[in-house]
Amino acid sequence: MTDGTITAQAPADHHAIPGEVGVWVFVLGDMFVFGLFFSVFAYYRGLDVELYRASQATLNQNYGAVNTLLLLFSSWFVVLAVIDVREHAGRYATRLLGLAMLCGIGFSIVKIVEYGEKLGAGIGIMTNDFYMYYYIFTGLHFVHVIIGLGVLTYLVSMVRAGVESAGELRIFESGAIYWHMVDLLWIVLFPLLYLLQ
Amino acid sequence: MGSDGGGPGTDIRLVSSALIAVAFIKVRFVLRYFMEVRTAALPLKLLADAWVLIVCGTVLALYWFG
Repeated sequence: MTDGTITAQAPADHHAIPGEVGVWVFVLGDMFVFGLFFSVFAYYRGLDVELYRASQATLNQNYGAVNTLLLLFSSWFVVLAVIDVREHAGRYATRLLGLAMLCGIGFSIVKIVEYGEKLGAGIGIMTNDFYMYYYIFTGLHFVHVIIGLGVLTYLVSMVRAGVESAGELRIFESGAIYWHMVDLLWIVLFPLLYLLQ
Repeated sequence: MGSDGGGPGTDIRLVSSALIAVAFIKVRFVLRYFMEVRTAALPLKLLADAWVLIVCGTVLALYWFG
C-alpha cells in the first residue's frame, strides 16, 4: 500500500541558486579577479617585506577596522531586509535598506577622509609598490561600494513598488548578493593591507 | 616551521596567519549565511568553498614561503 512513498524533491529545486544565475557569474568572476589581486600582493610583499611593513605602519588601522564593522552591519541590515521582503511583504525593508545605505555612506566618508590624509601627507599611488596596491585595490573596492549604494537605492524603489512575483524576488536577492560580495572583499582586504606583519 | 627557529619573527607570523585565516572563515560565513550558499545547489557550494580554500591557501603559502 505504501510503496509509493518515495517523495519527489522538486520544491528544493526552487531554491537551487539564490538570486539570478547571472549575478553569481558576475560575483564569482569578481571574486576570482580579487583572489588574483590578493595573491599578487602576497607574492610581491614576499620580495620586499621591509618596505611593505614600513609602508603599512603609516596606515591608520582604526579606519580599516571601523569600515570593516560598517560593512558587516550593512550586510546584516540587507539580510534582514531580504527576510522582511520574503516574510512580511517588505514592511520594514525600506528602513532596513536605509540603515544599510547609511553604513555604506559612512564607509565612503571614512575612505575619503583616509585618502585625503594620505594624499595630504604626500603619499600617492606612485610612492611605492605597497601604496600602488593599496590605492588600486581599495580604489576598485570603493567603486564597488559606490555601485552598491546605487543597487541598494534600486532595491528601495523595488520595495516601494512591491516585490511580488518570484522573478522580482530573485532580482531583489541578486542585489543583496552583490552587496554581500562588497562586504566579503573588504573582509580580506582589511587584514591583508592593514594588519599583516 | 619558521626559518628563524621559533623566534619572535615566527610568533608575529603565526598571529598574522591567524588573522588571515579568521578573515577567510568570516568570508565563508558571509557566503554561506548572508549569500545563502548553504542552501544552494552543490556546484555553487563547491565553487564558493574552492575559492575560500585556494585563495586563503595561496595567500598563506606566499606569506610563509614567498
